[in-house]
Amino acid sequence: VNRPFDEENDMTHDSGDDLRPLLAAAVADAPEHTDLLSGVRRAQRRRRVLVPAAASVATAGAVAAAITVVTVGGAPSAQAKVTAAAAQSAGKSFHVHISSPKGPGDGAFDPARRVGHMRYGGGETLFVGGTMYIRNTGPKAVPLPRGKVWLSAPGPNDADLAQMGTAIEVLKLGPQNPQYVLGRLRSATNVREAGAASGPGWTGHRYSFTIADTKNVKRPGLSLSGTVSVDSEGLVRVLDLNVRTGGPGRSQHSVVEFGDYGVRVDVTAPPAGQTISVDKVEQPRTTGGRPGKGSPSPRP
Amino acid sequence: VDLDADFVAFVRRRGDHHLRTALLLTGEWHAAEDLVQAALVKLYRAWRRLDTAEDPDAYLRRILVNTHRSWWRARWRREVPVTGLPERPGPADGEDRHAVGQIVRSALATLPARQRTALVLRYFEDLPEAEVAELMGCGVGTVKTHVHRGVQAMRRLLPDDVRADVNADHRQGSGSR
Repeated sequence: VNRPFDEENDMTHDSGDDLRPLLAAAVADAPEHTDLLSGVRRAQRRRRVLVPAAASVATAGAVAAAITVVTVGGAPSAQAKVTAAAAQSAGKSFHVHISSPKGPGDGAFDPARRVGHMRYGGGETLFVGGTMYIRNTGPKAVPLPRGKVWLSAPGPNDADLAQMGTAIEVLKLGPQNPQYVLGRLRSATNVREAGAASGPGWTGHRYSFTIADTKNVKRPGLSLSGTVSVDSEGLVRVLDLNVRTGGPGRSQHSVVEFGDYGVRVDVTAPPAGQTISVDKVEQPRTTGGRPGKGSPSPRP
Repeated sequence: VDLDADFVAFVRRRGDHHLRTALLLTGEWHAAEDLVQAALVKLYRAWRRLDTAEDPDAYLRRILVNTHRSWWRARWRREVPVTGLPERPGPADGEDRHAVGQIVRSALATLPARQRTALVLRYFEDLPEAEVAELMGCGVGTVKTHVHRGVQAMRRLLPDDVRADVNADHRQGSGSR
């Protein structure tokens, strides 16, 4: 390291004590009444819900059959149909196409084999087991050692998910991993029949729904609504989503199309020589701003 | 959900302090709150296994530093970089305390992450260099270098009048006690 000649001497004699009041001043405008325990409470509630949810994915067919028992006047309710379709779809492999303000995305997932791939917004992500491999390209690229082109990272954990609301989860995770969107659809409320729907090679029904973002008490302006089209075999075909991100007129519209159910999806992890764990890469600089609204510049 | 009473008491007693540390690490109140909440989720999972003689502050601080270090891997958390420091509002602004806080945080946010972390642990958490080194997983010499360069950068980045005002207020506050 090329240090200035006198840096060693400076380090010894410069106490840096003038920094203490400055750092104290930097936190003097703390907001009052911050409920720091809400995240722990949400995580505890989520842990109780996650276990049966995971079991239901493993036995998606059985769950779908069981859910149709929920009936209104002898016929399955709209909510039961959507919930069953989400559970059934989430257990099958599929191709997916996304249209959103950030551009189109295409990918394929096989939940049973826990693999998937997604190209979206100029980026590429592979899912193998519980690990995500993110190609380090584009404006979000960070400096990596020579020869490394993939960042490996574990998928979001309970702690991450506990503090996002459903709307944020769908907004941020949906384009990377549409399986999350299907999973969240099972908590849809206020589901109503909205007419016939069709697409290439399928016909079915459309349902409108809302998902109350009760988890995100911190950002109460968030909400998720839209329509879901379910084909005659009870599989989700199109999700038309509106995520309201707070404030008048602030919303994001995305369309997620599912198809080719049962398709074979082959994904292998990138070569180890081209991969580096995110834990070994220093955090890029960030400053104030709202999460998810952009990307940091690569560090020089 | 009923949480462990000792845990709740600890968070009520010390949560705000750790929120401030998180603010200095992340640069933004919402991100700081998210970071502390994520760290508390992890702490709570280990809470019953913690040795009662163990210092929960130190345990939570370690989780905070590690969580913050690994957070950027969740790409959706990334934030918009600010190219320059915000202009300092005039006295008529009426929110001087907030403005000064924002200026110092913005300056801090432009430092490389390891430099910023070292600076916060050394001068806000008031930890000895050896403890900072242990928390950051590096040598004491590296911490000294990070801290020194961080201090130099902050002096360079912050307007003279902001530094002078804050230090004058501090001296006045200390003298009046």
